[in-house]
Amino acid sequence: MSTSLVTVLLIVFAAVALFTVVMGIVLTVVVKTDDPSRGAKRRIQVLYSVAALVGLAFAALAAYAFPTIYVNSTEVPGLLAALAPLIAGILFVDIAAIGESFWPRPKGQKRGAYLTRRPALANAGAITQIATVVWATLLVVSLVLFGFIAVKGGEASGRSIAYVSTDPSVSGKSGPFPGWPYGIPMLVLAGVLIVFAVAVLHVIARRPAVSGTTPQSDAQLRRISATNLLKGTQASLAASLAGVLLIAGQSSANAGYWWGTPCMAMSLMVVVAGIIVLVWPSR
Amino acid sequence: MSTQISIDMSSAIPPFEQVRSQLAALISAGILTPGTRLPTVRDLAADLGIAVGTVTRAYRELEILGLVTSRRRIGTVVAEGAPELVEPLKSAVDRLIEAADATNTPDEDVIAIVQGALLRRNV
Repeated sequence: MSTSLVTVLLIVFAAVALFTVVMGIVLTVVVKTDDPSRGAKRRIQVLYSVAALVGLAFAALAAYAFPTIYVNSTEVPGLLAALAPLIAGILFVDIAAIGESFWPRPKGQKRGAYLTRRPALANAGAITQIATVVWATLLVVSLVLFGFIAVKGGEASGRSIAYVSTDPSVSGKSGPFPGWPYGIPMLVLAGVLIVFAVAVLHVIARRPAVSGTTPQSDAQLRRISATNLLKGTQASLAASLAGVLLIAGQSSANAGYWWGTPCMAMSLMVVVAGIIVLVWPSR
Repeated sequence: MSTQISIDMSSAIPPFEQVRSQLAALISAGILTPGTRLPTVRDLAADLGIAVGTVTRAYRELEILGLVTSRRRIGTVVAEGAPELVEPLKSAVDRLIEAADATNTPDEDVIAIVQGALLRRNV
């Protein structure tokens, strides 16, 4: 492992630790109100704002440093930059997991509970669920497809695409292209992100009900948490997918493939759709 | 289903007994009908802020009484044929509650009166 990679990892861990402490302090100090439902809503807002801040801070840092300073810190050039959106998503989900795991337990001498049966996973808004599934599926399909399309053999094996040419005397490669050297680590991290997100949906469904709320308003609070969680998850997957499509589109367009430009257009559409889902108000 | 149970941590009655007796009462009164799925042990324990073992014990005692059945995957459900209040007894209980309300008798006193009457009968 190179020194620069260690530096990046240290920065990431320091950022996570710092923001976790800040989150703990903010959650315990700020969230105090007589209306339990309102207090819980504010807690959810603070938690997911902090989680989003950590994810965005990392993404900003990665966008600046990974494609430039740390571009050659891994064996595959630019691998860190390719993984950055998924790492940011995993950080977001981790912070959410910490906050949801420390949901306040009922206090006081007299306590009540509704005899409601909760589902195994918390229900999120339909749009965020659909977006998460669609981006994840498209990411897997495109990475597998590009893995097979990429040039095999040679110095840039799996990182470039062969030129389209009818003339056998003309040959060449265009890169970077998201073949297996990028695809396999991205598929692994996408899998980790999805597994973590599902685990946090389970934690949200299992956390104690907010005292003094009806089963309906408690279910609504869980829905807000789950929707916020999937908003961040889908944003991470959308950013990864858009990056893959953009890089693949540029290289394939340079190499003379007809689908290069549509790929780049699709990348833009994914970014726009991901942002719309992200800013769409939770109900 | 939005039936609620409550526990008093300062009460001399242990929490598992408070949970057991309230669930038994809800089943006997027909408020929890056969086939109704109860919350998981972990969920109810989390909502009441008590140990998982406490709720497990309450559910196990209800199972021994034949009021609930526990199965893997399905969880704990109110048993078919769980004893319910038969009609003459039900109307007598309703009349007792009406009389208690009319005389502003607290619930604890009503329970003590019934328990006293049962003890007198058994002497």
